[in-house]
Amino acid sequence: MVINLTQPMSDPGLPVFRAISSHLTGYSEVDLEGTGMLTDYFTTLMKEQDHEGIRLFLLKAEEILRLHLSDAIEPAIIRHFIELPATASRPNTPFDEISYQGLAQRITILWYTGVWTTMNWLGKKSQPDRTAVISARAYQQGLIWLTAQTHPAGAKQPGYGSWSRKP
Amino acid sequence: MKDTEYDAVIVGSGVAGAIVAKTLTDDGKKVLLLDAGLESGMALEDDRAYQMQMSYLDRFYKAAAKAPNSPFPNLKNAPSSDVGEAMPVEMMDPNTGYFVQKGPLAFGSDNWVGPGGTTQHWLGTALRMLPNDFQMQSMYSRAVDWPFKYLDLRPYYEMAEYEIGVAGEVKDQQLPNIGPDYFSDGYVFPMEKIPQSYLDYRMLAKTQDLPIDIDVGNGQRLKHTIRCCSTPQGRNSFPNKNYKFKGVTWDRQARKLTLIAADSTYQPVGSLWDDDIGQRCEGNASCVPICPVQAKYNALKTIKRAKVRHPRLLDIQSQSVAYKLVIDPGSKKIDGVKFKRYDSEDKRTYTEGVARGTIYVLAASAIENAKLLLASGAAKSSDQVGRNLMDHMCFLTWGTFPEPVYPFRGPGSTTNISSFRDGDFRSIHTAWICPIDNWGWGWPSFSPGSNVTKAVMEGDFGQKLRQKLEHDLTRQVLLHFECEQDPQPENRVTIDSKYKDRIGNYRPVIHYDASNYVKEAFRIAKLVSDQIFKVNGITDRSSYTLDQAAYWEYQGNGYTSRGAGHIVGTHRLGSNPGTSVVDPEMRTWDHKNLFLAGCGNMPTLGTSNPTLTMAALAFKSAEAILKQLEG
Amino acid sequence: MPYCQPDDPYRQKLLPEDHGKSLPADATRIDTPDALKGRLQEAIAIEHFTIPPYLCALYSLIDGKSGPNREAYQIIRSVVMEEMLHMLLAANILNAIGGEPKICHPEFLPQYPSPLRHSQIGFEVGLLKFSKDAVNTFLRIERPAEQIVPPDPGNFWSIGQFYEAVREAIQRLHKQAMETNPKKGLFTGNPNKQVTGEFYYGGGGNLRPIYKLEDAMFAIDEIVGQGEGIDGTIEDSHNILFGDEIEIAHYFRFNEIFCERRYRRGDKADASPTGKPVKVDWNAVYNMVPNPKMRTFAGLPAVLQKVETFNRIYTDMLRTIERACSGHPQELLKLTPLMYELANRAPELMQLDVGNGQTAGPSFEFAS
Repeated sequence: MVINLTQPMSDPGLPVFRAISSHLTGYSEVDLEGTGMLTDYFTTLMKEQDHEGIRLFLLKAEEILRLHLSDAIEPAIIRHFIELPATASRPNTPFDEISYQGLAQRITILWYTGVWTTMNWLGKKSQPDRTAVISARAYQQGLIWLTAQTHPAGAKQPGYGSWSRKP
Repeated sequence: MKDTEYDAVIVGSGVAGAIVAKTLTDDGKKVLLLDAGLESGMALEDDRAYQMQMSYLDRFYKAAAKAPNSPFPNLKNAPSSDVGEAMPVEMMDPNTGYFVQKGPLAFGSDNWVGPGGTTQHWLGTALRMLPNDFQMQSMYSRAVDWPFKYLDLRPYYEMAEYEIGVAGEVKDQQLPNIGPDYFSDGYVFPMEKIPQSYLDYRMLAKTQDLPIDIDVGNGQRLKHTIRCCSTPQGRNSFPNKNYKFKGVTWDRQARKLTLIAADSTYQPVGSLWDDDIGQRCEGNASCVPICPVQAKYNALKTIKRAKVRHPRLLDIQSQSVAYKLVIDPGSKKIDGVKFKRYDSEDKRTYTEGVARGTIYVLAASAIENAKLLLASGAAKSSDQVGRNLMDHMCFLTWGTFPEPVYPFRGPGSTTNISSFRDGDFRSIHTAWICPIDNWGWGWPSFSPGSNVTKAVMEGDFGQKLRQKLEHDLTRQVLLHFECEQDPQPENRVTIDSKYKDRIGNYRPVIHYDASNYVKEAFRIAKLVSDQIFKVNGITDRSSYTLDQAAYWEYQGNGYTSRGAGHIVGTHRLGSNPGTSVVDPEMRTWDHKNLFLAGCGNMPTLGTSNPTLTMAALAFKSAEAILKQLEG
Repeated sequence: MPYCQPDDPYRQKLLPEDHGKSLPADATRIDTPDALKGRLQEAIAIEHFTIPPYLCALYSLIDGKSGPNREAYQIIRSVVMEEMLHMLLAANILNAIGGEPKICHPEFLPQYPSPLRHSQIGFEVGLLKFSKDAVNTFLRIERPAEQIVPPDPGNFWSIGQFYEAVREAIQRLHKQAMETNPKKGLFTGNPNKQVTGEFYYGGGGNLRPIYKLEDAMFAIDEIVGQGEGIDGTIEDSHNILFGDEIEIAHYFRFNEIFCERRYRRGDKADASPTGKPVKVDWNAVYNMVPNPKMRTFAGLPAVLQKVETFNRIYTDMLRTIERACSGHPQELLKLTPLMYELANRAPELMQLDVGNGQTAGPSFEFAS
């Protein structure tokens, strides 16, 4: 599959990005689309990450998605995107041999919080070293609030007395 | 600068300055209010006020750390401190930030310099002090006595509750040692209480009336019954049909302020831009740092009412930083307030001027008032200016409730544990109030965002991640034991010519520490918290580490203190000119036409958020100012 | 800055020679208390009728109250809150004369697009995204009585004339009833069923309880005053001045959006507004599929599920209102939170692509 990363609006990479995001976040593709952030997040990805890295990541994602069944997809995600091969700490290690530089993790965090984290990816124990909320809308559309059975602080107000009842 | 003779020049547009301005103009006095913030921030109505609020909200949404000042611009020409600056004192660089911290303990509170002052980001909790808070020395041989009693301040508390618009339930208030006349006969708050949260009810089930009997070491046992009550707050709710007042007026005959009897139902005051918005708390759950609909009180509401009623009596001059008082060398009267009026937020250029009036009122916050007095060499005969800096030292404990309680909803706190607000133990350790927090572990742990990062870094994703986050976040509970601090002369604000901001004004230099009187309270609080957690089946997840800003070890355990933003004491009132800066009417002993407003006046802090007390004192001093102006 | 010129093509539609189908024969003079109750039940349905179309336009504004059309958002929202208030006032009057408001049942919800219930004017009102067409429709719905010729007994031209008949009937029937029941007359309903501002907030005006004739008259004044404007003037019964603004009737509020200008003191009812410009971006709108129905999304189960959830919450809202008006006024406390939930979910629907560049939207169908 040829992935053209220059035009996000009709980018063939978008459906792959959406599908893999669904598996990473645990939310359906329709849920993700409903946030209205799909294009914005994809654009952020392209702005913050080198395009070759994105290309390799999306290719691998597509390969994983072809497995169809989540029983097969989940272990594949773990193997390729989460776990850290022993070679990771060597300098000049090829991009795809170090878990795609934590791109899966950063995409997950982006969907949940609207924050893009940059970090030196050296494995599970890495600490993000710079974080920024990408936009006011991204903050409000973060999945974390829905997950916690609430709403973003300062937005989507639920109305007087709502906090006295179970959500 | 007009050559008008003002009856009063007020420095600062926070709640204290606003109340004095409104009270004075209501009686026909001409007032100049100097505000250091941006002119655009002083937008009081319509679309300009709306745009201002939207810009604050936008900044808040985009802020990486949702700190109390995060929605508001930190003006380089009139800086505010930032809690984010706080770290262990040894690690701080005095050339960055606003406060210069000399320690030994980091001072972790902030205020905001700008239109409306700190009421822009305050939580809204509106509590009166307790009677014994005013007589700590007589009762407990601690701190000092105020020169008047709680009952003397009670009518002013009622005025403050009117002005701020307090929602609460008098019948709920279970307070230790208050006596039958704590509230006047038949008194109710202007509005019905803010509904308590689902989380509160789950906690109250086992915590309300919980008897505790624990070994506190040294062969001592603590026997206590825990009582909780709903928290009165300055946040709009349904009007109380039985509320009796509709305003405050100057009674010329009696020469005092009185409350005006109501002839219709109380009307909540909505947002600045549209009164229909913000008529009720909408559950935005972001009170600190901003209420999007302005259901929460902010001082601009008071300024607006004054300005709308008396447009020609109240002059507001923005972008004007007061930096020195002009003192007549013979009479010691204040002859003017020198200010630097900066052109814009970006440039450091300014013009200088002097504001003149008959009476001067400093209402710039406890720290800024002290700074201004020190810079002027004013009110110095007691040597108490800047001293006795106090804050509520907050000891947080947090954990996981056995079933979902759905935090991150509603105002920051709707219920508090009140039974430790007074008692004999105050001769040994400080009192505390313990609000039950509705916002999960946000304060100590930066939840919920931090939970995502942590789980993702640990390798979680997909359904497993989503379920884990839901499970963990819906069970988060947090208690803050807000401990009173005792006044210590060496806890102080000073100035030093080495440390100035970019337009040449002093930066506050802070010396701060915690006494064993507070540290012992922390120790006991932890034991009480352990008991509460045990009874409720809460798994304790509190942790206190060396790298935190105000960490100490005490009797073998580590504790971290956090600032509550309740900065008081720096120009305390009293009856003795040798040990206080102002008299009981908040007039400086040294300068007969200089009044000080704000929390700096408070000789003790008690266990209540000081805003309501500051507002009550503002009415009291406004009354004295009117008396003085009318001769 | 465009504002309404006399030859504006849309403006011409406001001076119609509309003729439509007649109402059924039984829509005649209100002769009995039962007929009056029927007409008041109809009033509740009429007030409700415009809410889903107004909400669709409202929700379709990109970024809503903080987006480029936030002024239009505020205007439409305030009209919706007033229609809600009218519903509750009508229910109060019905309760006051011993009737039972029925709100939560499938027949209550219109099948959009639908003609105005009370009117001989045959134009249809649908669930449409915000546009000049949509706002023009709103203007026609709300247009003041004096712009139109006098009505037949059973067929009303404007909402104002509908209520005129109701007002007349209440006065006449109450006078009759006083002969046999001098204490209460027509107002025999249980006073505890009245809903008041004690549990209601959100703007829209005063939610007054109805205990006697004067209350009912005042309530009708409020409904008509807010809807149409009083006797050709622009102000409504509030007549509140704040700075440049005046509280103005619905028709004129929609005209402010249409002409992209605010009214100010001195403007005439039959001329365009001449006040401050109102910023409207007719393109900053989600391209919602017109008149969405659940069956529209049958082929997209994930989307259908979300539309169903919306409809369930909307039905829940109707249930809440009915319960509140059946002796449980404290249920009204849930009303605003339910409306907020709808406002949060609707934009989500309008992000979902359903083909042809169009998006899903709320269908406001009954869903138990």
